[in-house]
Amino acid sequence: MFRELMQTAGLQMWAEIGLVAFCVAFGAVVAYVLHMTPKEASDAARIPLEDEEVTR
Amino acid sequence: MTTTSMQTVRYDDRIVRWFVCATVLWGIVGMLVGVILALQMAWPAANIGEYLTFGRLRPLHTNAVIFAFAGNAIFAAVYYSTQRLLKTRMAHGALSWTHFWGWQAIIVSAAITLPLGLTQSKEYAELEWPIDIAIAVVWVVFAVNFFWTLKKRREKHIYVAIWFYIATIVTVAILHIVNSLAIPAGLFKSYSVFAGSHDALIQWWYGHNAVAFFLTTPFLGLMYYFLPKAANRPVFSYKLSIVHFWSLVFLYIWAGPHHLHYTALPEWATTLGMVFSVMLWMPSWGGMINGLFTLRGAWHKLRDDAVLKFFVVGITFYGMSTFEGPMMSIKSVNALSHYTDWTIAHVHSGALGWNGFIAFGMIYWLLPKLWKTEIWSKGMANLHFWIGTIGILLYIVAMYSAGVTQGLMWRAFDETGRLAYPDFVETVVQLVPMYWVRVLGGCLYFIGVLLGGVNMVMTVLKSPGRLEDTEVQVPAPDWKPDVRISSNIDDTLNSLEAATKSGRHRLLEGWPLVFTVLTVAGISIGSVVEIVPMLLVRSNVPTIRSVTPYTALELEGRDLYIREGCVGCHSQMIRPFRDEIERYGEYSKPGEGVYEHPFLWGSKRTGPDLARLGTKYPHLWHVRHMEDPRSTTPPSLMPAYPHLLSNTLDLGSTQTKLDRMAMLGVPYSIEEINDAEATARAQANEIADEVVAQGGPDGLADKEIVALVAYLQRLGTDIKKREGGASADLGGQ
Ligand code: HEC
Repeated sequence: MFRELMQTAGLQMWAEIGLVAFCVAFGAVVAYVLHMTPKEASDAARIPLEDEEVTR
Repeated sequence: MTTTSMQTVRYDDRIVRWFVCATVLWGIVGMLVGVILALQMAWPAANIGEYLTFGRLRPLHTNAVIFAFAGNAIFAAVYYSTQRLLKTRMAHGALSWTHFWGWQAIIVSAAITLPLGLTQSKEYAELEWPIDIAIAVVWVVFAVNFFWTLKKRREKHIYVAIWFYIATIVTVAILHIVNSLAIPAGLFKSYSVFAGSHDALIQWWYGHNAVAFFLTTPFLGLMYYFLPKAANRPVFSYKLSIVHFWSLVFLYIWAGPHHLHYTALPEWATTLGMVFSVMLWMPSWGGMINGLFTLRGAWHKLRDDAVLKFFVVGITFYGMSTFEGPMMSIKSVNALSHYTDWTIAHVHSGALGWNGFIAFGMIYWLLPKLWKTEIWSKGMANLHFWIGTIGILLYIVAMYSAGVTQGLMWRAFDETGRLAYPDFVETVVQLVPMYWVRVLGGCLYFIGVLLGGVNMVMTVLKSPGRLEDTEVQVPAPDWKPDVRISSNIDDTLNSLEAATKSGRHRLLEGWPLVFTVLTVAGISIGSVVEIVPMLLVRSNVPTIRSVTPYTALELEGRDLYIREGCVGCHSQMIRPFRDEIERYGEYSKPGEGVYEHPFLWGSKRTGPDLARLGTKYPHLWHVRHMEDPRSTTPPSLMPAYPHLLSNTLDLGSTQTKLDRMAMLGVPYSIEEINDAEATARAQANEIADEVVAQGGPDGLADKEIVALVAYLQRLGTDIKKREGGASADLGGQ
């Protein structure tokens, strides 16, 4: 009965909001990644490898 | 500031060394407790005394391995890699050391209070309120230190590992604070402000995300830094790492309700949890693929490099558990796996395989760097790897078979339509051989960890006496926008323009604040959507009129149930399945939980469900069963609790407890609160007299056992009352 109550309370809307929010965010991230030039990506990827090279 | 002059940076390595040592030390302690627990499951005589029974040690084990072992490993990783990725020393030494010693003090207080039975009983959030406050304070110290370092950085781009750390820091803070909201009823006693299904939802929103943001995101950050270092090549795809990060953070936060399938939680919430959990599979495997492919062209190094071996197998276990997790969140699979050892297999493939191996891989990589010497024994490190791997395999194979066996036995019907194994203990006996295999697997893994400990100590001993901090030359940051509000409007605008010109792509990472806000937004959307509707409809949880608050004595008994950690082996949540209703009785209703601060649904049925236990047995049966379960049920694996029959029942704070419950909305009248102690005494005398009348021992009226019996006899009886009284209804229909 609790379940039926929650079903009729119109709360599915919240789930839809969540899904839309996720899709928007995901789209934005993909767009951002596609905008990244290969050089930018490879520069970024090398950051962990650079840190010791400059040791005196 | 346009020419690239060089600057000298000295990294704080000392703090990292201390965190590494703490990781190994607590790893040994936490896993030793784990081995003891495994033994107690196979052989109940290993429950020794009052303080070291299974129920009290289990939270010690989980807290020690999660927050002490994995926690210190995370901090070691964060302190080592953040300084290097941002090309700056940690912001403030005093903050680092406050963080270190504060965290260790919290661990020690956990190790003392949990065996004493001081617990809030919510899984992975058991510590009582004063310690909870200390955790919040130390976490804030860590956060200030971290974000301050971020602000001081010389590297413009924030490498993806740092993103994972940011997500960890902000999310853990939010989770911890919300889930720990409780009202104190004494220095070491508190009640959750949430009750029943609300409390359950908040707890598993927390619990699941503790896995996500304590055991996953920081370890992924760690992987993205240390794996490229160890393999000496950049991560396979940086772009993939970004997509992986954002989808993980957005999706994980929704997945919590999958822990509550078929319980008194609304359908849409658990369906949401299921859908998002299944979607999680993709980013998780994105991470795994990215990790494994980073080793492209370096596979031959695996032969004698223990570090890479640990990483590769660790990442593979990550892939396995993130495939299995979404699978288990599918309702029909969950119907079988929930409450069984299958879950235990799942978490240990994650904890031992992913967290443990990644942490040890990192430690073996760090040891020579931090102590400026070769590792003492490479052979021993390799042995650690192999013995650990065999240990994990034995462990999980045993637990998978135990889980599936028990799940199938519970739901089996014979041809006459009756339960094939009506006696719960029949299903327990089947598991004992597998529990022994687990002991063996656990011991092997533990021996591996001990070898790691020896290797570490020997490496430290042969390090050159004085260890200087690593000193490096790094380019001075010429990218830092020098935006100043000057009296001259033109100057201000010029500097602003220069700041934005530096590229819109990197604008996001250039602004840690914006980034942090986005992360918070990401996780908050999920949390709010999941939790708020539930709280909003609070008034809609159908109150069942025959459900009334516990009597003073029953409440004390409930607190004993909490103290002894019975919830670690017993659920109080009957799912609406034919076999469960047949076995235990009417399925659990949300309205039955309205006064349950905290909820005690449990997540594992080593023993039977107790939701409808009341009146099933006479008082005397319970007294004898608690004194020694083998006396009533010879093959039982339950610990004996003889101390409940000798400890004097303390009713000193009963009145305060009722008062606090009343503050949380439990309808106790002023008289009930004021007379709490006297009423409890009267009920205790009644029960003690009945025990004597049934042929039991005399003199139990002022012992703890009567309170526990009062509570057990009350369980699930309220809704039966309605059958007699016409006044009650289930509501909502
Ligand atoms: C190590 C796991 C474990 C812990 C901890 C544990 N139990 Fe049990 N319990 C069992 C097992 C297994 C059984 C089934 C065999 C039996 O009846 O003893 C059981 C059975 C029971 C039963 C009988 C239920 C029935 O319907 O027949 C009761 C009552 C009970 N336990 C109460 C408690 C209480 C109260 C505590 C805490 C003080 C507790 N248990 C702690 C494992 C545990």
